[in-house]
Amino acid sequence: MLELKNVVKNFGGLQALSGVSVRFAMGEFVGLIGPNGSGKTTLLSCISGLYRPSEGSIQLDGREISRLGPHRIYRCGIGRTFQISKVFARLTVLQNLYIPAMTVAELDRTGMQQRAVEILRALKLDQLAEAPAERLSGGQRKLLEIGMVMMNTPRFLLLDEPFGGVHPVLKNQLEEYLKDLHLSGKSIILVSHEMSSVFRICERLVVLDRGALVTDGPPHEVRADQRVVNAYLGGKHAA
Amino acid sequence: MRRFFLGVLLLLAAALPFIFQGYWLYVAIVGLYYAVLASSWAMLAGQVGIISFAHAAFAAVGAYTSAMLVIYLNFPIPLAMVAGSGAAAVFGLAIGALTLKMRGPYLALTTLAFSEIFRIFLTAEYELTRGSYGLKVPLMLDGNKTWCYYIGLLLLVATVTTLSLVLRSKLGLFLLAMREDEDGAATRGVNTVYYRLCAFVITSACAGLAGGFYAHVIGLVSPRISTISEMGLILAMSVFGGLESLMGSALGALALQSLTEYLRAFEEWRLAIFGGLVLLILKFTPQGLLPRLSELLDTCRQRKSNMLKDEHR
Ligand SMILES: Nc1ncnc2c1ncn2[C@@H]1O[C@H](COP(=O)(O)OP(=O)(O)O)[C@@H](O)[C@H]1O
Ligand SMILES: [Mg+2]
Repeated sequence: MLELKNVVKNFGGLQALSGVSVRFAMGEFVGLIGPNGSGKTTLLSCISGLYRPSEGSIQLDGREISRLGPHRIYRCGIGRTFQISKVFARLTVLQNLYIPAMTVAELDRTGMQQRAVEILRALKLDQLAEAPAERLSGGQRKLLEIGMVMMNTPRFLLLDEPFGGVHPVLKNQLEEYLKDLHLSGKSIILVSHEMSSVFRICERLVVLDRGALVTDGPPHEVRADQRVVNAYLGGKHAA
Repeated sequence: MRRFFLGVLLLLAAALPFIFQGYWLYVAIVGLYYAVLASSWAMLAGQVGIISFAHAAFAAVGAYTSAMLVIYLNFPIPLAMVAGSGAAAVFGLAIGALTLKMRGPYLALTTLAFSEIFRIFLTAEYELTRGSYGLKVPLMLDGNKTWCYYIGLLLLVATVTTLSLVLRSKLGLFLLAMREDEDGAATRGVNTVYYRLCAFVITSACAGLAGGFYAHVIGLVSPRISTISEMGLILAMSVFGGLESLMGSALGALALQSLTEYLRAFEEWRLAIFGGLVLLILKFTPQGLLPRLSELLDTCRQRKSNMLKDEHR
């Protein structure tokens, strides 16, 4: 279980997270939503160790991880993707996949190659295996990032806007892929603006607004919550 | 093509003692010392993105360690040189552990401070180091210049080969990924500080080895090895030949070292001239002179083959 207690993150005078407490159980598929600038990305960055929370604690199965560096947190089984992709542009797609695998050394060389081929096939990137990642479109980079996480066996996947820039046809496939991952036991925290997708595939929604948690519950309840509608300026995004 | 070019270069280098003797051979030997320093510094700056001003100081660590082991403890020279390299690696580990979590400018300043402290220490510890007079050191191979040259060439080839193998290994791939996106690498499990430290230690060891070589071919070690202007020279050589190319920076060192000899008459102005050169290169061909030349060569060849095709039509 991943448990955040009173997590605060300040950037100078700006408070991006103002005391967020939330729990994510193993195997859950949670949507993390909220208007722009509400602190979703910051929350993922605190969990993944890129930012150190200004206050509060983050525990994985009772173990404090908020002081660990990002590589240590990754090795605890928490993988993430980025809203603005961080693929290694000058490396090939395959090399991009090998890097996370090599840091953990779960797999031998052939195992690694097999896993890479499987993942590329699942994400429809197999034609581009040898291409440098800079040749990928924005959407393909998002897919590659998910592939990079899946090279190991993470327990938690933190996905930051994975549908952004992804072609509509691929988007459906990506939804299916994420559902399959969930069925295979992965815990997923999905940040997304795509309300229709979020409501369709998540079993629980957590809503942030201005750095604070507004609601937390099953999608149909959250949809009906007046505070959520307000947070989204009269339900502009609501499905 | 690249292979061929390298082969020719190596043949030329091997034949050099038959062409030049005496003074110019000596110039070439010192050039080899700088080439090892420049190529290892270029790896650090170009591939890892660490601008360290301690590289000359690590060479001094190697030089003094090797010299003192031979003088005071009667070590055989090759063993002493290896120990010198090891000592530089240990210093690299310590300085690296201290500085590699810092961001660019802080790291540069800290390494500069270490370098100066070390130089002052060498000057002040008269009993051990004979201060700024320097220590007289036994020569390797009875001072046979031809053999010294070949040893230097061997060291350079070994350094460049080792460093390119490192760059092609897992460590190299991680370094590349870190250079592309540091946070991206860290969140995929790359322990960025650790791998940067590895690169720092390896290149420090190279500098230490070069220092030991220098000591036993010159026959004298002095704090001058570790001065800021020596460091500036190494930097100029690396930039001249190309920061992103190990071979390039090595050749840059040899070229500038020969140039230095032509510029003997302008002794005081030497660094100013080199500084100007570095500025020009950074302005017009920031990837360095050699990669630029090989690019030009490629385009020439392409034009030629295009012309040939045209003639056939
Ligand atoms: N590195 C940073 N430095 C300063 N301010 C930041 C930084 N990252 C995010 N912020 C600020 O924190 C707030 C939350 O941002 P973010 O977490 O990116 O929101 P979201 O992902 O929900 O759109 C915004 O006001 C943003 O400007
Ligand atoms: Mg965001």
